[in-house]
Amino acid sequence: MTGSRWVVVDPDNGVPPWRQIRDQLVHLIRSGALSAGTPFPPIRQLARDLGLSAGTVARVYRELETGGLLVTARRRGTVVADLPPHASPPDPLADAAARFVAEVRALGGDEHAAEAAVRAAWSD
Amino acid sequence: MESALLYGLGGLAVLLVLWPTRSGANRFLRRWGIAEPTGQQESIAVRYLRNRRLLYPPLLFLVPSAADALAGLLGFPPPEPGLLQSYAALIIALLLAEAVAAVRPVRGLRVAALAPRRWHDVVPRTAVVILLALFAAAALLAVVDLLAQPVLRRVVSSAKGYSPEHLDHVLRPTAVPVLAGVVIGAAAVFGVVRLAVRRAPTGDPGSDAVLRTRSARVAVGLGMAWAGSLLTAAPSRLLAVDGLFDGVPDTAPAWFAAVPALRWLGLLVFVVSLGGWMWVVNPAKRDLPVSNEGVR
Repeated sequence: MTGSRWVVVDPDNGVPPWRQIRDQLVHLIRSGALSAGTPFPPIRQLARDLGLSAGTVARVYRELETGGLLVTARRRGTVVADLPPHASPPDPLADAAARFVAEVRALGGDEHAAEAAVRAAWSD
Repeated sequence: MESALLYGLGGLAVLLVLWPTRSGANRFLRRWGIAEPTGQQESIAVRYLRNRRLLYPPLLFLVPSAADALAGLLGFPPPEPGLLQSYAALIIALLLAEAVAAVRPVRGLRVAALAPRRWHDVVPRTAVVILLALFAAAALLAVVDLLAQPVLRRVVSSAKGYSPEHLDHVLRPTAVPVLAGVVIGAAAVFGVVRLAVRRAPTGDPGSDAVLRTRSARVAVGLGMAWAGSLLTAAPSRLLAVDGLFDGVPDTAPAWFAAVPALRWLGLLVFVVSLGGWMWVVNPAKRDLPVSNEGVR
């Protein structure tokens, strides 16, 4: 488990849990934080850890598989797919925004708090 | 009842001495691989330790009575108070605390590590192999004792100079309690390991991985001590029968000459199980999961 990444779900921030998970996973994969071949936890483990139904996590995995970000093989389980070069266009601003959103969620903030914080920081 | 009360008071003393504090939790987390524990990690560790140690006094009080009741149910005399009952109380405390953590609903912010978690991520395979070998050896000796019952009766009947009560005491069977100990011990230890892998996370990925590892390793370590004690107890009837004679009696089969060697086996097993226990609960830094990972 060394060096593992994590995913955060805030049930009170108004965004559906599956979207919170999907956005964070897409960011982690596209930013290269999770490289090709990195094993993902089984659906039931992640669902149990996040207090969600297995169906919710399965939906995210399915969506990411359809988007070519994850592959599921019988023996290796679910792993990060080899992304073609065009699948991960460098976008430092989007990456920074995604990191910021994840931090805000981890701190328990919502969209309005994040916007207010950005405005305050911008005017400094 | 008296010994149960003494055990309970001992547990209370242990609880007072080991009452978890933030500074103690900080040292605990550093020992288990977190270089710079955060305040949140210290709070989680205090709760983790408190939930387990609070169970020591009631369990140390209840286990001897439960052991007496179980022995009575199986038709055996009450077991002598000893290390086995202390190990049992500690393993059950771990098991109960992990079971409670497993059924406690997740509230508030939920954090999950993005990595598969398997039993061999939290406890070394070698430790599990050693533990299984100790349990298997204890079970094997118990079966040997069981199969040797008619032979032992015949041998004991030829002993001279002992009262019938003493000979009855010597012939008291040990196999069934040892086999029950193997089954109960293995179920408890592997139950803790399974729950340590499956229970809900603590909310902080760094300390979560460390506490899972700690629970599983301590359970396996206690399991080794438990299995070692069973292995020492398993040949006690054979050794007691051997102790009635100078040399091998005429009524004994040829294999009986090997029985005295079981004394050395007991010593060897004691060393192996104690060494294994120390090794598994004092992991090297490279074997630990972390880190200072945390959601800040």
